Amino acid sequence: MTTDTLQELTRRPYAAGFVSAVEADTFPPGLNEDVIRALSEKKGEPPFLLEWRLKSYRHWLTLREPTWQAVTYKPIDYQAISYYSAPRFKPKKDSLDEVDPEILRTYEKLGIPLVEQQRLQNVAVDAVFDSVSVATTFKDKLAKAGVIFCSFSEAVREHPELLRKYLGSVVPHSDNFFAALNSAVFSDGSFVYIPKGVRCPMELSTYFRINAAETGQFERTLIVADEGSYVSYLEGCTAPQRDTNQLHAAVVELVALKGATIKYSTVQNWYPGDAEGKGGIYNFVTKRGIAHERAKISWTQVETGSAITWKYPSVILKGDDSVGEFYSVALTNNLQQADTGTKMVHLGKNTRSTIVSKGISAGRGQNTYRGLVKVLKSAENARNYTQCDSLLLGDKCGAHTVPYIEVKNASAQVEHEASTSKIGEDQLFYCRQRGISQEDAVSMIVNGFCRQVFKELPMEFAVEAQKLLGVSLEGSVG
Amino acid sequence: MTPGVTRYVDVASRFQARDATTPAWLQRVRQEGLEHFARLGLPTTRDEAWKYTNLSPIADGAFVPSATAGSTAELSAVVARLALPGPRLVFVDGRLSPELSSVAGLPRGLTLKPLRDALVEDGALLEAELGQRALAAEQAFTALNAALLEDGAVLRLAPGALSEVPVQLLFLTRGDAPVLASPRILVVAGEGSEATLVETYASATGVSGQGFTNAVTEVTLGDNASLKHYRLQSEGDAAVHVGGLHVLQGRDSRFVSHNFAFGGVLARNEVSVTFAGEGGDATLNGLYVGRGTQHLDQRTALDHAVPRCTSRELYKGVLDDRARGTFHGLVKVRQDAQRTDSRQQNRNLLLSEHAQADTRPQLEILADDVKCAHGAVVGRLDAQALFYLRSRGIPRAEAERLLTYAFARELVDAVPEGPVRASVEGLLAPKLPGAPRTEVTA
Repeated sequence: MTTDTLQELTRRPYAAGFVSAVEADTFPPGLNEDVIRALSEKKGEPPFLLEWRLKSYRHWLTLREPTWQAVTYKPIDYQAISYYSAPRFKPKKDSLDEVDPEILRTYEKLGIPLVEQQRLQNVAVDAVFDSVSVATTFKDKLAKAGVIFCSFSEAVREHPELLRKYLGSVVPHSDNFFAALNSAVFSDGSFVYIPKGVRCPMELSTYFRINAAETGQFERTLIVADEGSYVSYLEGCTAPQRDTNQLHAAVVELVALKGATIKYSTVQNWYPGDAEGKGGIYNFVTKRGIAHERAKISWTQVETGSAITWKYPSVILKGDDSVGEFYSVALTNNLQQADTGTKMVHLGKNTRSTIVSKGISAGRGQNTYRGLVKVLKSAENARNYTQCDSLLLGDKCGAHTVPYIEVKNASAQVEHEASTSKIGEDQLFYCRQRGISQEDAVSMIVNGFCRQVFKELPMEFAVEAQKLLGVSLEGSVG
Repeated sequence: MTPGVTRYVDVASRFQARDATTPAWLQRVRQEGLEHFARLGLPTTRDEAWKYTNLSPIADGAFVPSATAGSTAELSAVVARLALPGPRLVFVDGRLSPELSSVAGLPRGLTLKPLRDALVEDGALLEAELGQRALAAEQAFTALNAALLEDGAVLRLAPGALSEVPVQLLFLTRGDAPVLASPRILVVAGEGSEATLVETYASATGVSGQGFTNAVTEVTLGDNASLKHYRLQSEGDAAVHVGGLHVLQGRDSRFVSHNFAFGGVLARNEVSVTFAGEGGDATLNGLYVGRGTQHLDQRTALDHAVPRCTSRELYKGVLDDRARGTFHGLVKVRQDAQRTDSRQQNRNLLLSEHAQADTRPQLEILADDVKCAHGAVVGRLDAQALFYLRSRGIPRAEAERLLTYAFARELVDAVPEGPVRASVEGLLAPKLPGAPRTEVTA
């Protein structure tokens, strides 16, 4: 394979990198208690939430930014970030007609036509533009099933009792540096509540878009699946192409009560920076779910974007017979860095977890799987199976595997397997011999490598993920 | 400095002040070791490399070096039991015992010298060689060892020297006093040479033996040299052991390490191998068998710094009662180390509901044309295998013992047949379930 084809293909532009001309209300950069008060006031929040934000902020001040991860970046100046940016209009719309057409066009360009989606697809979308949710579709149909799916700000106003009960119950405000920051300044996000025994009639989806420059996006997602319910939730992300790095520090909390199932899928395609590593999103996210008795939480992620991806979607298997799953494809090209993995904490009896992680490194990308499987004393008959495979495309990239396995109960059965390899010359030769071009052969092999994860994604997302992988990888095989 | 560190610094300062006739270079090595130790302090569980190991038995213990080996005649029975046929040096409480040692039958081309003699006779050579593989500036225990540098051994293999007979270094602690032993072993293998070295660590008093052994072994393998290295660590259940084995491999050299960790309330066995020449091959085998409240910590590091090297690693743990076993194996493949082939396995068997295992296999890969795999398993005895045996009339306890023995046996079988394997079998048997619990070690 020649490096020329490789380079040619990696030069493919980031398709979602345009900027939309939307007038925005943006706070001046800086962070202090007054900013948080102003933010809270702007969003009309009840006093308990402001208190919680301030408590988080004060705790954040006592924390130091972590340094153990295998990623490097220039220090972030938290005073140079604007903590609120909203398109200039009354944030919540009753119908899509009221949404700024420029924003609708943005989503259309991204392939998420909110208007059409109303009619054609059976997916309810909550679209978050910079700091606020601009539109949520399919509300009526969902309401009939008793499902609450709305922006966080709306949930604050309309379902404060639910928020109060579950906010911070999985990821406490003191959890870590970025979670504390998020708890202090989170602007919006999605809230989902599935009532007892309800199978959510459609896929729920949030689409995150960072548009304004010099802002950070700090959204918070909270999903509560009540006893015996089921929900499948998708999340997609893009940002314009800019020279400066932008911080995205989100928190996602999942609560799966007795017998409930939450399936959470992410296709993350934030702007990764250019070939020289200039610009791009810092994606520092805390995601965690708590599974009660017989509940199941399944994380699926396809991480192709961001200059730095640093996240560990985790499951606390608290209830007996609960199940946790983590399926991940992480791709790093050019100067991208990814340090991602999961934590499975087994507390209940007969708890099971499965981890399948596929890392692909190309260009000068660095890809780390870091995971923890912890079986506590109480977790009788716990079972874990972990598989981490890395594919290296190029001699300047790196693949690292850092699993931690801690077993405190002898009845546990824990297995971990990992392998690292490149695409075999024999595999390529076989394909070429049958008239498949080099490029197609590579893409086929890479797709095969990721199949185990892709098959966990809802169909539309699987197609998008395959395309994304193709684009992000093109030419990086040499 | 924590009180623990202060105590060791005091001990080492007193040791260094004791003898004014020491050559200047050695004084400097000890002095620097002390400074590094004082700076680094004892690791804590906040240090990533010591995450699962609480060093309070070391921090709280009042260990002091022994001045001499004392009268060692009464230990000859113990030595007779543990000694292998062939040349050996015997150390008691960290000090050389000339009357128990015997270098008769040392094959041609091999030189085996007590370190205390070599320090005087080959000062210029040792000044250049000591501390090259084990870095006092980075590791607290290597620094402490350097601060107390005095006893140990130097094994040299002339180019082309071949030895069939294992050379044994036997480290005995009496076990009746909190003695701090700090042996340093230096192996320099010339081009094309081949040898076997056995390090045996044991307590003369058996089960109750106490003491703290902080051993450092530095190995340099020349091009095409080959070394089989055995570490039989089976001190008494109250002993504390920290051992570091650091190896640098030349072109086409072969290194095999067999690490048997059976003894001590707290034992840490570290093996690190760096490939400095292409075509090197390393095999790291380890078996740790713990019971009672033993804490057995294994750490391995393989640095594939050059292309075309092969490494194979198999570590197995058997943990009973409240024992805890930890394994951390790092395989690093540097950017130029193309065509590296590395495989690593860690398997843990938990025999009791209170036993614990932590395992961290770790790959760091910066080259693309490589084959690297690792695996880790924690579990208990296979229920089906147990059922099979029981259905054939074998009592449960016996069936468990058989299966556990079979699990551990793989690593015993990796040792070529002969006196070394017999010695390993002898040390392993009393550690397995069903064995009488009175006399565990020598």
